Amino acid sequence: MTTSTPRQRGAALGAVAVAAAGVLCAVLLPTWAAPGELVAADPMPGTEEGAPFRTVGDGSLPEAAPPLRGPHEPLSSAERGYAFRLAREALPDTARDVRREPGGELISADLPALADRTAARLVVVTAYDYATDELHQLLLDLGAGEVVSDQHASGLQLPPTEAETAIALELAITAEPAPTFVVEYRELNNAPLLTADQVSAVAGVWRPAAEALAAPVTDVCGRHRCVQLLVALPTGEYLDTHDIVVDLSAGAVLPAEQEDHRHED
Amino acid sequence: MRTDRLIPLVLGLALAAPTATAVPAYASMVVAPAEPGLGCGSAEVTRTLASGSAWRMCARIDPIKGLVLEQLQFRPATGARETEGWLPVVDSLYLAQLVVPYDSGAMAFNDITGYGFGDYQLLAQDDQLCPGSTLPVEQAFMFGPQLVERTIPGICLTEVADGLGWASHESNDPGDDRYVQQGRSLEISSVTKISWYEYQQKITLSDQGAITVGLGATGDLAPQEVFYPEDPTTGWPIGPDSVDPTTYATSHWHNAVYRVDFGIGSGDQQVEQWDYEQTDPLQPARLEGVGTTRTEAFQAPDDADPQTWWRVLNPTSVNRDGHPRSYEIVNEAIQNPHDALTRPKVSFTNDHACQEYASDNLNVGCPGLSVPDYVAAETAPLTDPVAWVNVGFHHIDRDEDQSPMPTHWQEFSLVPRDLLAQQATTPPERSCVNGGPVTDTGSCAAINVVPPQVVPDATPITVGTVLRTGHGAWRATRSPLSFQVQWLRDGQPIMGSHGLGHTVTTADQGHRLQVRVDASGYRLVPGTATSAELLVPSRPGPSPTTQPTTQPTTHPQPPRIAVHLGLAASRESHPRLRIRVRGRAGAATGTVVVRGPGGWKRILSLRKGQAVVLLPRAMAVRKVRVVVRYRGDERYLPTRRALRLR
Ligand SMILES: [Cu+2]
Repeated sequence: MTTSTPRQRGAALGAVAVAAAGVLCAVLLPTWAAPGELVAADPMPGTEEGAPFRTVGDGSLPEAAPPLRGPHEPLSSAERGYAFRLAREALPDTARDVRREPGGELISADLPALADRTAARLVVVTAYDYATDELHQLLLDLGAGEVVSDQHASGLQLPPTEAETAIALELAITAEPAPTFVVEYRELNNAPLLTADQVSAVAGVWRPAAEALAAPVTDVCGRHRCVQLLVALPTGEYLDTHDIVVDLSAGAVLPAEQEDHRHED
Repeated sequence: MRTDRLIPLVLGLALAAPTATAVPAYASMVVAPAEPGLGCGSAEVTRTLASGSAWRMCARIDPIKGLVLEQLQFRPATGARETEGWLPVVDSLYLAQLVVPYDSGAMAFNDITGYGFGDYQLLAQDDQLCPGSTLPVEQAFMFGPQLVERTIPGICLTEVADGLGWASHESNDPGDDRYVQQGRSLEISSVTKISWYEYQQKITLSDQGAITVGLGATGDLAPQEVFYPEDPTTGWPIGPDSVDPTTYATSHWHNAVYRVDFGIGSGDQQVEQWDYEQTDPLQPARLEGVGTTRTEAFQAPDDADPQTWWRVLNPTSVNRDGHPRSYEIVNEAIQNPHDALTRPKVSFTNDHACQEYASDNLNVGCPGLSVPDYVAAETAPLTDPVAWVNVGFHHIDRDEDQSPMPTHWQEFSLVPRDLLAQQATTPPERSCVNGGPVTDTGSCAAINVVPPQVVPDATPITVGTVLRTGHGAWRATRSPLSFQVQWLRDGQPIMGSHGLGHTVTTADQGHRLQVRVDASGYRLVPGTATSAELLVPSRPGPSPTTQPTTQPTTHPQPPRIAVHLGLAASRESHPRLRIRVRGRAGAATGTVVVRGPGGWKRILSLRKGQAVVLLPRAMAVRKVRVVVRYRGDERYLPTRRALRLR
């Protein structure tokens, strides 16, 4: 039975070269340590040709409104960037992202539901504030450069961002005692798993089922932003990560207690 | 006493002539006028299928929901015969949740709200994934402090053959008119990879107006480490028996919940439920159907009668028959009974923008709620219906799921019910078949079989030469055809030249002449046929050239049909109908088909141009209508005669 002890992590994390998230990963992404400096992960063996994400310009968000499209048209990258800028300015000054940097974790920007659209160019931005564990949903009017509405709630967890996936993987790799997948990696490769670029990861929201037994993980997850990691070797072979849940709000790796009873018989 | 009455018959059919073009009048209907678009820019899709029906919509990729269709509109191949322009049918349609619990109880994944189908999970389409064309998808999100983006071909549009669309013989006579068409559909799809599974979201839009919403799962089975316990009750052994201990690939459900926001026409819509009941124990086969308008939000009962079905209709948007347009939900998938969310076949609420997802709702306006909550919270009457459709698939792994796993499908359909007064690709020949007993035969449209031909009465052609023509040959119609002739010079009408003869003038010399015949009739779709061109020499010269140059020496002629009714002389004998078919070339050969009321029909072979048929006695005294149809032979054209027995 797994007995990983939750380990608190500070906000400052080392550079993570991300090979996370699925097979499209000839990803070209900035590091934490040096924003703007690009680190290209190696294309993973056995994956199809890359369709990488690239930074827009120098990666910074546009100050002024870009050319705007019609209310029903898909968002351009510049419109998304401008919406993220407006949202970040509208969030409380105390808002923090997954690294505990100011601004909140900007998760997604897209069109509002058909019924909510008007003649204006409206965008819904969703952001998570790690300082308060609240989800903010802002309706923005790009033409006016204004916030139309700002609602927030706790306990709502959108799919993790790439950055959150990278942080979760980093936390899991360095957790003590080592989770099963780290041990497995060493046994399969005769080498330790030290950095995130040795594996690829997909993360999903983890929340306890309604009837879940009381445990640290079921107690905090949901209120906290917790994720489940699915970690694979470059060969595509998956490692066993079912024994841990990463609590991003606490920067901790928790044992997924309620799943372990099945191994006791 | 016996009386024979002669019923005189004259059945004229114009002389056929060989030719070049025959353009039915309805062909012009498929040309759409310039029209405003849907306003969704690069997401707008307008496709006319090979069978003539068309769809248009906005198709985009949402970062979480994946493929989203909005403002879905249909235009039948029958065009203006049914409706002007586009018919709006669905406001929006997408996968609102996908719950994947493993039967071991150890793991459950919310693939939509927990992982998401857009952003980096979306796979780029290429020639192997997509045999059709693609739409670009622009994606951008924040990675830490930086904005990242990519544009990939993310949506695939492929027109596919559906197999047999329809086939119909007018009668059992193999020589009778036959209507056959292959069906066509437009598939709109995207592919998303979520760990080991690769999902194809596919919406198939048929030329009949049907919408099939499917989720295909491929990729690979869940990895060995966690999902292969030694428990035979929750899985299936898929490895060699020689391996000890035996492990079992864990069975699991793919519980898809779709959100369909109906938009049939404009204005309030209704949800109608149809139930069927045996009301009379002495007539166990008798079923009585009752339709009920459901005015309040509801979910289908757990133990719903499998006969029960639901549709969404618009009482103020009616088809040409006056029936309200509607779509019926056809959901033959199973539902996971172990979860209140996935148990009902379908639930209905009104459209509320904050009710975005079927469970774990991510919209702050209705945080964390699920469909049962929406149903319970709905207070307004159902006038803007949203259907939450549960489409489950219990995947019990098998040896053949390795590897890659062949795509397994789960789907439901939205099928038009009275969206149109007739099916969407009804050929003009059947356009008048609409309800009631169908006793008439023949085409509902003027369909040219042999175009008119232009023949000079003398050669070489010069001023004063008379050019002659006929009407060409036309498919037998339900009411008599009348013809209008127009001579053309270089494609332009010649003023005042409308006869079967045209006298060549100096204006014609050096120009191409042809004749156009417009055919019409009572309640018939009109048709047009045009002859080949004939070049009039500039000055008296050699014989004219015609295009095409091949010209049969003899043409089929229309025969005459004569019918004698011999009334019964005694109660024991039946009245008889004697039919004689002949023309200038003598007695006709082949068969005649005689039809009367109530489906009464006889097929007779002609002997020496004659045939005799016995009539039911009632028919001879009731002034009934009888149709005699001659199928034609190598010398005579098919001919039809309708008459009333007196
Ligand atoms: Cu499956």
